[in-house]
Amino acid sequence: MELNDLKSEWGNIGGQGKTQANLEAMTKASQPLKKIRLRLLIEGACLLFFIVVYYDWFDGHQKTWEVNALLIIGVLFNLGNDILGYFSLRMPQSGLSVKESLSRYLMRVRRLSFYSKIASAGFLGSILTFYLSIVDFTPKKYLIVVVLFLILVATGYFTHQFWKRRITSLEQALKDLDE
Amino acid sequence: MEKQFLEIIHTHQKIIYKVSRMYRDSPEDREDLFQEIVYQLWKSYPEFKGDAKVSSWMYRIALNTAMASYRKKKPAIEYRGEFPEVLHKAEEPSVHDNEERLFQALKLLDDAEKAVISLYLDDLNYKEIAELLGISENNVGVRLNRIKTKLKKLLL
Repeated sequence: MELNDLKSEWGNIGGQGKTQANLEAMTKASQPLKKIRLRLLIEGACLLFFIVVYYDWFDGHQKTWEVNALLIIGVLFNLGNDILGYFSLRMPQSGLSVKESLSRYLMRVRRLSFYSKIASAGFLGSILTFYLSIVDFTPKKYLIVVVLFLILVATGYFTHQFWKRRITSLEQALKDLDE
Repeated sequence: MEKQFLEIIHTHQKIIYKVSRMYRDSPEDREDLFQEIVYQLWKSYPEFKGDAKVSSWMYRIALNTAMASYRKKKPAIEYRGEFPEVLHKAEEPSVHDNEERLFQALKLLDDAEKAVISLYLDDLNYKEIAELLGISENNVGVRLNRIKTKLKKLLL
């Protein structure tokens, strides 16, 4: 068998074909970006709601202003990271070779991964600090601290795994091109 | 601009179909990738000057999108390096059977090999393939020989 024999077969492949109207609809929105945007909206709404209510619901008036400020910074930093990620991933791919383009994309994903881990750790760390600043500990409050700490560890682990999978898949694609 | 873009994509949509077919396993994933490629093409269309071949531009964006976008991990499938007996026995395989066999064989190649063979089969020369992928012409030749050996084993 020669590769040339496959050329005619390859040329006949084409699926059922989309209409121009179908194709036009596809130019309107990217499915992955739609999902990210939805996640961003839900997460953003929850975080903003948290900022509005935390002072009354979680005794913000009993904490020092530094602890309150740290919590708000943690929340805003997390929100800012989500927005940065959205705009960074929505940039159209530049007109370079596939290898160059993938290398740049990998660098962007690595950077986002780093910021994302810092933002998650900062956010959960600020919540923990806020809660730990309560002086009168009871067994129930100790339990809450332990649960919060476990959530911190689990979130860190899943965030790390999520980014690791993405980065590994891009590294593999680049390795395939290099071989 | 949109009308012109849609005409180009409509005429050359086979490229998007083939890339989606090669890089994704399930029909849903292929449809998602197809949509994403069209979206990325639209976003990069203002940069397309027309001095490059339409097929090269489309392949560059399509391959970029297919290789860069994240694929959910699927249960491991064991490829045996050959096809079930029934496919060899068919006396007059239909066009669909041939297409299916070809894509089954292409699935066994890595991402870069899929890119090289698809460009080669669409009549791009070594220089064009090398420039588009960012590898050397010599590398293209070496890869094509390797792919040829693999496909020979699988399709004969």
